[in-house]
Amino acid sequence: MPAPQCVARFPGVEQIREAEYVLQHGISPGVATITMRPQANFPAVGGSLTFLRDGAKVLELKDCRVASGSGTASAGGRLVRLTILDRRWKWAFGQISGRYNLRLENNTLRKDTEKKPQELAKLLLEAMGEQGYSVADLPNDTRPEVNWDYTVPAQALAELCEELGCRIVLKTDNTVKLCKIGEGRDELPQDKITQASGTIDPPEKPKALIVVGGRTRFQVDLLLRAMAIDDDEDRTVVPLGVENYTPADGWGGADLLEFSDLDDDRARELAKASVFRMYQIDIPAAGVTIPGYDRNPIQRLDRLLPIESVQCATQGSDADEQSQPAIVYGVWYAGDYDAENGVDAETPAADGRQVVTRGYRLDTERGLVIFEEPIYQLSADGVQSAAALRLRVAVSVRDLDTWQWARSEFRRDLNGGSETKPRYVRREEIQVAVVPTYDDQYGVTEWTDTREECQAEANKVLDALEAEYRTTNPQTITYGTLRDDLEMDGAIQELRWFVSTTGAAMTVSRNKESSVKRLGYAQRRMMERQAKRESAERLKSRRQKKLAEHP
Amino acid sequence: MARPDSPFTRQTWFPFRNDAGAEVPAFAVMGISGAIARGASRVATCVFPDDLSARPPHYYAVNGPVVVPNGGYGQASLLNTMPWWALYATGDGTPAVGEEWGPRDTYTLRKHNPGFLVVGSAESGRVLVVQVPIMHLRGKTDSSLGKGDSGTISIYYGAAASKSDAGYNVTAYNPYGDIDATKWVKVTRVDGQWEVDATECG
Repeated sequence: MPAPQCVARFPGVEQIREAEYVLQHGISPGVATITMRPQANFPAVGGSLTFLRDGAKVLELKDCRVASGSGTASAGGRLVRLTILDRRWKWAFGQISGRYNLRLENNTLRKDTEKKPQELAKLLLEAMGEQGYSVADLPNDTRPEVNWDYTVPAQALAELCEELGCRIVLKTDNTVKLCKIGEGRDELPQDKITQASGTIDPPEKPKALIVVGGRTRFQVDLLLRAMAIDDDEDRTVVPLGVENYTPADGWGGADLLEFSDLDDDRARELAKASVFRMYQIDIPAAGVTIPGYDRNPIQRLDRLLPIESVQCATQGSDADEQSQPAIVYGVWYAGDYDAENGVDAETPAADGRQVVTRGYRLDTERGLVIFEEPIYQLSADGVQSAAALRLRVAVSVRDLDTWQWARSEFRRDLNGGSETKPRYVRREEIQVAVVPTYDDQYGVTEWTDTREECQAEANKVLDALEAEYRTTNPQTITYGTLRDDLEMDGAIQELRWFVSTTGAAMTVSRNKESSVKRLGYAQRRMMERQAKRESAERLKSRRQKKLAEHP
Repeated sequence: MARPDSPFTRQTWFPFRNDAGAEVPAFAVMGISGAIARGASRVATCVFPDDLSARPPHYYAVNGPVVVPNGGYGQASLLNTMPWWALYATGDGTPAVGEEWGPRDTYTLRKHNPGFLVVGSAESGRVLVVQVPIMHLRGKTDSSLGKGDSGTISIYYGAAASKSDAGYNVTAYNPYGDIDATKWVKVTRVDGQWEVDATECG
């Protein structure tokens, strides 16, 4: 039986002496090389590169582009070598804009921005101009936050896939499939093999994987103390009573409307802005216990700054779940008809008339509550004094030694891992929140946290990470002809077609890339990222120039 | 953040200086004696009602919930838009809704005196009231008052059959016929002055 006749064709090329094409994972265009006799008027444009066996198409690469051509002279005569890029050269263009899966201040998903990974991938593939693609294998449980601002869609897709343990695969039928790394065809055809090599490639496996979550959020009821703005150059905020314009009789009977007791206009303005309006988180000498934090007490306010403006506790249904806003509660005079202060003493119930219902804003950087009107308590004999208030809010804690935020870790020991330090991977969106329950004396009786839910989230990340360390059996097989029964997937990372005047071959590499002359996937991604950075720099520079020209 | 306000915050307050010569209790009724400049704004001066040089004024002021020391500054309201607390003389009984009580000799409201309409229940020596302008007074001519003349009227407050001299006078114009001395008259605020509106016959 005669050997099959395998040839390659490219528009405008009269006689191809040798052609090779290597198809790999990723967004960088695959490169084909054609060696041909010099010919006049070669259009050197683009078109479909076709590999045929006995006249039947084995592979048709559409929309290829000639990237370069060079001439060589040898004993056999002059030859021209063309470098051709597969259609992925077009993926360097286009843009997509959008922000999805944004987080609220408490790191919960903003529902109106929610998009599943597969939906994100579809958006990107559409922006790339792809049709007939498959995103079904892309893990769809997480909600990765993306911020695309005139971003190249292919770059964004590569990052999304990488984050989810997948690869972008251009298949031989010209469609795109997102495949899980390492998942795919197990058995390769065993006929017409001319060379087969198997290697052992044990991964450099660490002892453990640790997913490091976002900074842990602790809900806490913090004492507040009244402050005032001092009449100094820096307008320092000082405890009430320390300011240098305190009336001789104190603030107990003062006119809180205009502060007419004060002679000095400037002092009067400062008092109006701050007296009984400004309260700051109070850290007593013994420190504050943050429920659920393991290195209590906290003795410096700056370890908690900036605070959030919400609680860890949420409200609303699943569809529109939102963080409850921070509340201020305690003993204060509400000005109701039926009583003086709302309550005699604050309690963790923080209910009813304890809650301060007047307008205020939180200065989260300084831990200040700044009310729109004076908030004070009133004694039975008509003397006003600072309200006894607490702020229920979510905080994170800075480590005293490293000054970094306390974070939760989710560990997975790896079987057969080397005696190494663990591999740490940060995932900001996985954030443990702790909500305490207090007794009436503000002793913490228990607390609930979201560690279990976070663990489930972390497990998905750990699964993807662990997959990287799966022991594979890298395998490369070369066949003595072109085949049409091999397809790219998550395991088959490279296909090579080769035809020449003396014969044909096809090489398949499973769980490895065999081409020594080409960059590996990781190196290609590095170059792709570099290109993205340079593109962003160029854009920034253009914008700055424009701004300078048209301020 | 929701901002439900309270009767206190809905009330219109103005700053005042306590010129009463003594501490002004919370919810005390005061007379406005004048105003002074204080920085860029003006501040009312308040005294106890019996210290007013001319009474009754059209409006009294009521102190807020804070005791204001002598010479100190506080917040007061006219109570002409929203009800608020004012101290009352517990010796006069318990104010009932619909009654009119008013200042007479000190900073508490007295029964059968004009100035404040009771609109709510009383508790702890204070009662919810709104201020109503004093437009009519009952009194007696100190001396005979001819038609077209102005003369002094001694004001009498109290229950209908047992009014007594409130201790202060107003000057009233008589547009009608001659009136003998010590005759009951009703005076009404007309065009910024008191005028005799009705008189005892004979």
